[in-house]
Amino acid sequence: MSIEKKGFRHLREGSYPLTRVVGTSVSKVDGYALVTGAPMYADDIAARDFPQRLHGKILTSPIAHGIITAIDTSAAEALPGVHLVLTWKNTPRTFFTTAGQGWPEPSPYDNQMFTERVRFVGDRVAAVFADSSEVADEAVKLIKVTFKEEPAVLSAEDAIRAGAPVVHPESSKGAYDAAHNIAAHVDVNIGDVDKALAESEVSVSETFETHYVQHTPMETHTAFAYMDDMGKLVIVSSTQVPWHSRRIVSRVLGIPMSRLRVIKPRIGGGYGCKQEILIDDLVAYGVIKTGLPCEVELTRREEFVSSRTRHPMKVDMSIGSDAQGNFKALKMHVLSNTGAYGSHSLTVMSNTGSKTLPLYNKARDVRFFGDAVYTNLPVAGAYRGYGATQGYAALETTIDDLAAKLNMDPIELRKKNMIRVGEGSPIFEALGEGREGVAQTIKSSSLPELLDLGAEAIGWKEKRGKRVRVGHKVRGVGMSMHMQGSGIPLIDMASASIKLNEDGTYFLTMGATDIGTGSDTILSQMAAEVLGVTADKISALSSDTDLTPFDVGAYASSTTFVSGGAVIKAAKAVRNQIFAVAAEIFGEELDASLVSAEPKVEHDDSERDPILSFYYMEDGNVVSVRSGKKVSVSEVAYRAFYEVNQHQIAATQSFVSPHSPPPFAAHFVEIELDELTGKIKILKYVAAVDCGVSVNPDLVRGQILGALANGIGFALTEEYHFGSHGNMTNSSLFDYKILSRRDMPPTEVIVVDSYEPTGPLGVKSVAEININGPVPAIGNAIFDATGIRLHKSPYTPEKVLAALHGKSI
Amino acid sequence: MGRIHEYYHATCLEDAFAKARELGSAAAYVGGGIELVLRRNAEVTTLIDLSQCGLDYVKATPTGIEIGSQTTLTNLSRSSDLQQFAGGSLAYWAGRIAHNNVRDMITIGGVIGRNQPWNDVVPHLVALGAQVLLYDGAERSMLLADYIEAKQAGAIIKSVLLPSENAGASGFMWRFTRTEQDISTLHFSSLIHTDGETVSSANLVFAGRPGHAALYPQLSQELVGKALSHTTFAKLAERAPAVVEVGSDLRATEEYRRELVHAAIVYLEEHMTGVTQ
Amino acid sequence: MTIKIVINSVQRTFDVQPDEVLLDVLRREGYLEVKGSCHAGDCGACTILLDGRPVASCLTLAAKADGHSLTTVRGIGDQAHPNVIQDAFVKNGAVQCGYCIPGAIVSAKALLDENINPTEDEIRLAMDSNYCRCTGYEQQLEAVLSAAEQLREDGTGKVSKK
Repeated sequence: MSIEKKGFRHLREGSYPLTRVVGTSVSKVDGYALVTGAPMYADDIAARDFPQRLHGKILTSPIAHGIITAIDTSAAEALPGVHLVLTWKNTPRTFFTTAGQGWPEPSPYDNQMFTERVRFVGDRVAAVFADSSEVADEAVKLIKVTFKEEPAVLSAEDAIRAGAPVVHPESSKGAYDAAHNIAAHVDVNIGDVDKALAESEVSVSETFETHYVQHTPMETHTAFAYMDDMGKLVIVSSTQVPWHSRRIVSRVLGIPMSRLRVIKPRIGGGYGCKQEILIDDLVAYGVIKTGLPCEVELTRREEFVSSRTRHPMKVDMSIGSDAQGNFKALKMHVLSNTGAYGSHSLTVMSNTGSKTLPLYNKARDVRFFGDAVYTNLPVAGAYRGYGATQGYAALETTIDDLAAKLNMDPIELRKKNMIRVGEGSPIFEALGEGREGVAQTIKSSSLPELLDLGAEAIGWKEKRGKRVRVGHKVRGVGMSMHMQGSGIPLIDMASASIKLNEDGTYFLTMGATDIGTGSDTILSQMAAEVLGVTADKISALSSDTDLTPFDVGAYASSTTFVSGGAVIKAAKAVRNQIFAVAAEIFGEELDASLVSAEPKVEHDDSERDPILSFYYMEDGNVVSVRSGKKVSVSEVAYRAFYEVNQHQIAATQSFVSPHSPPPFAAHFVEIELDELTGKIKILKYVAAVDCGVSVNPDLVRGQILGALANGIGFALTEEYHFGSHGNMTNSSLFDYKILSRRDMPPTEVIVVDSYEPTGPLGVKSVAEININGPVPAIGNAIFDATGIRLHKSPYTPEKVLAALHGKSI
Repeated sequence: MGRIHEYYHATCLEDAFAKARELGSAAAYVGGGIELVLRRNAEVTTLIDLSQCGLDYVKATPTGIEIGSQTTLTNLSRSSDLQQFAGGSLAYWAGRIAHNNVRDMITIGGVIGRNQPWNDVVPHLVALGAQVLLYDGAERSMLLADYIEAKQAGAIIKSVLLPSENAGASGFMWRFTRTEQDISTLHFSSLIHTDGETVSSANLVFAGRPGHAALYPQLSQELVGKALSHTTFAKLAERAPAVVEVGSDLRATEEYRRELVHAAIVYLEEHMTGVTQ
Repeated sequence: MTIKIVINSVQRTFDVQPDEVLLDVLRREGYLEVKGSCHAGDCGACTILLDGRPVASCLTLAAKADGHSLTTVRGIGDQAHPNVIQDAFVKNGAVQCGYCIPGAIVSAKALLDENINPTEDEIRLAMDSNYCRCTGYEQQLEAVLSAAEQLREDGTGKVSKK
């Protein structure tokens, strides 16, 4: 098969159907609005529409663990301008999880609006709504709280020690064993891994520890709520999960869903942290109690201290192989720190195994097990990569250690053991997101090409093992290999509606939640492809629980695949209705069952969509295959709306898939390590990616580059520092260093398209996978340059230098 | 939070000083104003703005290059006089420290007066042998190094003078940071006079303790009279870590900063000799 | 106190507190294209031009801007008439969530007003306050290079409205 190179894209010629709109980099539908600063984010809308709104400020716990024995809000309430002070005493006591996930919810119900027991520095103690944020800030300071401090658990290891303080002594529904601080537990066992390891000719066991980091969206969590003129409570929230937000707020506050509407405006970045109901309950309750519009905008400090982080994990990884490098056994054990609450504790940990181990499906004996434990530290949650990032840190570095032991090229070792088209892995079936999974067979993969093209781009053969030295600086190359998923199979459901307008344009409404990723754009492209129009003929409205159909939201790399499936189905249904009217106009027969048939998402070469044998769409027209007659869709619409057999041409469709086809990636990096300072400079980073068909190549590239920037920051500079009582000491962008544009290395993106037959128009996902590479790839490059293996992220200069000086890190 | 009642645009130095004297600790001078916003002082009720006092200039004088205290980092970086001075190190770094939306706000007088975190400028100026010209009713000047040790309360920093005798020396800055715009984990600045082979004088400045920078005359002295050779710098690199004051904070431990002191001298050697070590 | 400022070519008069910062004043007065994020000068989101130079509006006392002129991203171009830089950002996939973009574009404007032939390093340096967590910066760099190229082709040497 010949591969055609088109910019950074590599296309397999003739391997999948030609498209006109899909595969082109059309401009984002919100692009011009965003570059001119249109007031479209939550606080913009609040400021524009509700200048007289109340501003909420939160009092957080200054101690890691203890009981509130007294709380006096009288002085705060007496302050002029203060409308409402909330504490555990005057708010609903419902236990819930802040994690915005599917149903039944896999995270424990261990959270309340306000807590009597504070569990970490930053836990919510009280909130004030006042006329201005200044007054609210002042009132917060006037709240007098007396705490009875209790011993705190400040590490995952301490959490599971005998006699450790219990973080959730009250019942915590859904937690695995709260009395022993275990929020979640997983054990999946295939074969007899210990026996297989013992019998393996070669084996390695390593432990890798990852650290606390935060998503740092440029827009902090922001939400406001108001009562509309009909008495409905409306929440406008910077959320990735409007439907989950509505469901959770409805349950916690006891408001029927018919009286509750959640609107997602433009979102200033999410990356997982906005898959969490952190303030929506608060602004809604503020409105209920005061009758006035209420807003809460987290400060940057609160975003760090009180919102959500990436689960720090300690991962023990063992691999057994024969002398030729054929894997026999994979054993991964996880100790995950979920912080004070169990948000995403089970599912993130599940992904640590389920999104990593199937990549090496040749091992017969596999075990994945672990615990996610409560500590009195900041709360972890969903974060791009979702556990796989931590798993790959351990897996991909351990494979390189095995390669060294076998004296094999790490790429050859991976090629020997990687999953290929037509193959599955028992892990797929055994381990899903917090429950059993769904069997999967790989139907598309460019992994072999990714490895070859990536190796060539970095100069692997010439550079590996050479340890080129310039003075006190030494160079090395490293690589890593990854997969992720495309939505959660048989759980994630999306829906979309399409209506035809008289002029042949369309209105697309969908639950899919564009948080800056460009999903409104690429989903419009997919609809346009099916409807035979350019993307600008589609007007998209997304994520309003009253106005658009349901979607689980923006997470789990699901949108392009799952929401795309819903959009394709709705577009096909509408297209078929248009064909039916066109048949009337042409005076041709069309079997009604073809029109009403459930539209298909999966692509099957042998079975073409039967209705296309009669009609097809072309540039806004319907063309008859049989007669060659042509009619414009606009004429069809006018006839259907106003003239004959009048009806609305429209369809709503939903999509849920048993498949979650993994995208693949191979990352390569060349570093230069300063032996005087331990500082690592990345000379070049190469990400070779297979995400199925690239719907919008520029946006695909943006997803890859953005994930890399975040991943490299995770590997090198970003980290939480803690004081002696679990208090974060660098809760600002001044002290917590994300990468600026001056810190970015030269980066090459290589995309090798594949056609995924289970996905709409051949797509898979691209959002998360590329954050997984930098930690292991850079770690492997350090190993190549120095022979030293670091077992802890981030690779700060101080740590690297200590390792160079012989300290075990 | 302190409430500011008055924002006073001073028309000249004399005006600013008179106003400040009248108000005592209730007044603060505004340069770029950044520190006043970030770290509000409850005592201060009046801000005295110096931007209309004609203090934004860089000019060559017979005694050296005089830099008005309201000159911003951007304007320092663009001054052709400064690009020539001691190899242009001040101009080069003034355009690279902090970040682009504060480089036009941060003033040289502000960083000296307020010990701001973006303080790589001050230790570098100390190394360059800068003097400050103060106004407190009359003009007087003192070495910047002395000013830092004993700040002159109430006096306005009028300008900074880089003495012309240092114009031909080699200025050098090595700042070790986590990311490009972070503040220094370790800052090192130097000014070295040579005849091409031998060091005739040297100023070595380290900021190794958070918020603290100092000139190290003894270390500097160890270079004087020595050849620009590997032996010279190797000795210094061995000695410096024991001498330079270092501290611990979230950016690094004391022990690590000591390693960086060593590294700084190696980088100095590479700069002075052009030989990669 | 009362201050007079020319904002996006329009003379405006505002009542402000002497210790208020421009970001708060501008958003209160409806200039919602100026986005706040860290409120400490660390992220670049709220960057505007003060007499043509980029400043962090969250750190600039409004009183200090009295008598000066400000430009926000809307003063550079609007949806009907986007500036070449804004156009290049959209066309190069340089926008994802968009929150950092108003600040990034005004930084780029200040650069290109002085230099229509910038190197990649000059672009990075001239926009280094503008954190972006979505794009990894590369396509923003390409957008500014492309805008600069267009300006050179236009031969005007001035970053004007298209």
